[in-house]
Amino acid sequence: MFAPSGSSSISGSASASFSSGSSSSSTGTAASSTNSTSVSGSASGSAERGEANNNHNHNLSLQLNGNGNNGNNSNSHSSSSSSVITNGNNSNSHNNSNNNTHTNLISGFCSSIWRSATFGSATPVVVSASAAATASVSGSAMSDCSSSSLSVSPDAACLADNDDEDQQQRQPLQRSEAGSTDSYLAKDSDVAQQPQTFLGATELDDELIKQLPKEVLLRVFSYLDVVSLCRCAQVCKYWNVLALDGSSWQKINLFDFQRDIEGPVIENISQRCRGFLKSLSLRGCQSLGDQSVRTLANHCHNIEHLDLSECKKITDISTQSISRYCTKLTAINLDSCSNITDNSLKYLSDGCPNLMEINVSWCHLISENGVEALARGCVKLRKFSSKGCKQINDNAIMCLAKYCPDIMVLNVHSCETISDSSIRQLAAKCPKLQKLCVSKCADLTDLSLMALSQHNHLLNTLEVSGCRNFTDIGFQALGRNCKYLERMDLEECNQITDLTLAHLATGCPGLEKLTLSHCELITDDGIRHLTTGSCAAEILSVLELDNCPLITDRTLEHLVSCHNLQRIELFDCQLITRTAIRKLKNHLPNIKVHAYFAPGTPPAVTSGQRPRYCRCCEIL
Amino acid sequence: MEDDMAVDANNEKRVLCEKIIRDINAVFLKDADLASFEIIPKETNCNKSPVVHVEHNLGLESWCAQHVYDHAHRTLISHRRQTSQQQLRTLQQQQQSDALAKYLNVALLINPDVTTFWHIRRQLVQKNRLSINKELQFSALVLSIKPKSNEAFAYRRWLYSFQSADAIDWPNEISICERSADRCASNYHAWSHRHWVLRSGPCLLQSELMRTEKFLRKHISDYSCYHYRQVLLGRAYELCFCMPSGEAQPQLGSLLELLAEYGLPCEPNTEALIQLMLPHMNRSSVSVQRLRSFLYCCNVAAYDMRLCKEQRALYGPRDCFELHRRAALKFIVEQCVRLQTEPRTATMDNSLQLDKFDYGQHPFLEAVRQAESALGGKHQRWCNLHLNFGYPVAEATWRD
Repeated sequence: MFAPSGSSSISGSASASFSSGSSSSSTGTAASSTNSTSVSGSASGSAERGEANNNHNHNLSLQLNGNGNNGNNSNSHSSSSSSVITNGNNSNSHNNSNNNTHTNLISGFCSSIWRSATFGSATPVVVSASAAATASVSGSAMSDCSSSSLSVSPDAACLADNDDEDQQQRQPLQRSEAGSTDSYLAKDSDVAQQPQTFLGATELDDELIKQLPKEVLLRVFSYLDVVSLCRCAQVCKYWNVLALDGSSWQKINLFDFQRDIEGPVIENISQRCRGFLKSLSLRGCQSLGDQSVRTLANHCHNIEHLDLSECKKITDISTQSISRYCTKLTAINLDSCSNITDNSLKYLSDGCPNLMEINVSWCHLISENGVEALARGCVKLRKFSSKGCKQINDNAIMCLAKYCPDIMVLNVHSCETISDSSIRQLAAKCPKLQKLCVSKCADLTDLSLMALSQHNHLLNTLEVSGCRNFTDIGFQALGRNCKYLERMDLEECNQITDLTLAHLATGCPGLEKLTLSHCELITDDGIRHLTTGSCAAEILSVLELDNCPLITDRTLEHLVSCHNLQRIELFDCQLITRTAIRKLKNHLPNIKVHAYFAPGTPPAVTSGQRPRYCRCCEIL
Repeated sequence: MEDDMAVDANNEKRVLCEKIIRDINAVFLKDADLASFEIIPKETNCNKSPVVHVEHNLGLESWCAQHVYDHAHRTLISHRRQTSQQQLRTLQQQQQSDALAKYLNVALLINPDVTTFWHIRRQLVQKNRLSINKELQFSALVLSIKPKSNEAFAYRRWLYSFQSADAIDWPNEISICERSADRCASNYHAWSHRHWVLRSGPCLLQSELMRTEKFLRKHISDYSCYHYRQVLLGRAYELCFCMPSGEAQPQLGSLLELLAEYGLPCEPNTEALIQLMLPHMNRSSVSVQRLRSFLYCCNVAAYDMRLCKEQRALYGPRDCFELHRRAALKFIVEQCVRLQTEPRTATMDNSLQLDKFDYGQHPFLEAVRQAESALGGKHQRWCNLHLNFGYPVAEATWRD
């Protein structure tokens, strides 16, 4: 598998471009470089790996160019070469190239970068025959080998091992694969046995590597992702310092390493990245505790996006430290951190005035006091999500409405005590409201909908599943004014009838996703209205009609005209038949119909013995 | 295009199976007293949920059973294919182990024979993700659809290893065994479980004797039941069990009848009986309790012999009657001999040397010996072999 793009090609605008040819281009040694790297200095920055025989001549800003035939550096290094850097510039020369020393220096030096990245060592590699055989002509195989040789264990714990890497310089092959059992690496270690190249190359390499300016390397590294950066950090001390320099680590997402992440990792990150860290996602890192977050806050004062969802051990202490140090925080996610209380919100309101997004879903200890404090302190708040927080009530919403007029997204799913008064106030005070989720707030009535339609014309997502008191009147109002509605979830709003659909069809031309599950009064007529409306033909993509008992095959006939329809749910619509679904699928081949029909062809109905007729008699 | 359609079809199938599994799970959550599960044979279907829940009975229509099982099976096997570390992690997380339990329920109800799935359940129980009571209920549910499922019984026994003997509802176990045995003839696993109850549980011998007799009258040819009754008898004697009798003279009617049959009329009191049956016994070496138990058990055995005779009269000659009668006879004879020769040895000791015993000395046994010889060559051969009655071996007649 291919490592993330960084590992086999180093792109950066300031780097020399050498694309090396394939092994076939170098002679002299049986072992030719099987690893080509295309170092493209293009502004596009995209990895062009495995391009054999590319000649790129770019004018490089750092005067690394100068040589006409930079291309075709097949790094074939014969074991006899003592001057290590052999960039066979040409296909026939396999060693010490020729052109001007300047280029030679740089090119050799860049090749040693490449080599380090590839093999974790600065030594030129005499690739054994077997390796040569494996990494044959195709560039992809080459980059595969190169990437696989870098396959150190992607454990973020490598960060914790940084200090060990001082020793790693000259023993890279054995050490760099901390845990990797790649066979190619095994071959590498074979190679390392060859004494000459192993030792002979080092000093010169060292100098050459260090001659590439730090800025260049940093720029290169800034394109890499976490895993590659960690690998690079294990190459040598110099690289270690640079790869772990904060500037490359502005945005970190550790979700993939969830359970492996423990306190020390975060502490290392925070110490390394310091002021550079802007966005960190620690979602799902369940063993993370307050101490780590405190360290993080202490060191990383510029952090803007922090995702601590599902870190179940986090308590108010973490937010306290965050609020004390991280004044630039704009988005914080504390989903499922069930120990968070109102105090956290108070701290955040005190310390993070720039806060725009906050998610405290399933933090059941949050109540109106915290929300009020938060609203007062963080007036720029745009997204507020408190799904599942049963203590959130009207007061909380009213405070939000009063102090945070910029609210765009509000999610109070399952906050059952919410009633019309707060929603009406919200609607009135926050005209920018775009997404509103009040599912399972069963006390709401049409008054809320009317208020929304009156004030919030930008509304595009409305989720009101479980709000049983809504009737056609509310949706009529909505349909009239909220033209930008795209997604609506009306599950279990069982009083609505076809009239609602008619209004929505006329009023909301952008409707993409409509859920009408358990709306028992919807009939085929309503769907007909919907399909003849302006949204149907090109836009409607998901329609959920499960448990609508009055829906029959006629609906499916109407739906034929919705060309963008991708998914339709028809569970428990007992009047739907298999043939109708088949017809629908004939018209809309991409559609996914979810119903209770057995997959595959229905079994042949055995209707008992057919009466058999003998030619002479009537019945046998 | 073909591939797309295949992928779409797979997706729909997957969604369908997931929905059905969710529906089944909803029933499990809603109804804490689910008693039985059935697969309802139904070939075609309309767009209705295949999960049927009526009172405390759960049904699944047969058209979806295959697909749902495939899906659940695939999920569970893929869980098993992970490394053990990953598996442990999954088990430890509440959400994921709940999901796993969902699939397990469905998979095991449709196909209770897969040991791997039971093992996954065991792992979940060990990690405290499933409660033992619910698990007992679930295994009872499995038994309702497959009464011969050894896995379910073994699971129950395993679950009980976590509970002390007092906490277990033994009569309930017995009734489960009885129901399972009722539904399936010669249900070895159910009866084995009953044996386990017998060994591990408190003394339920009285009721067991009654129940097995009723069972025998109903299922006349259930060899497992006969075997169980023989074991019961042996155990009763081993435990020196006898009827707690307030009266001085216990009810030993059957024994008296048997003796009468053998031509040995006897006074209906303990002393006379002992005198008759165990003339050469060393009274001091045998406890009163054992003697009483001996009489009681012989009474039961005699009752059985008579029962077999009645059954045979009612249903015609059957091997099971013969075999049971012989077992009862053997019991009586052996215990008589034992008490008179080596009263202190364990009752179940097989080293009893019948061949050294001289039946002539004992009127009762001699009478038995005489009487039994009249029952045909095959019986004679059996008596020779097992009771060492020493009948003259007649020509081997294959017809007997």
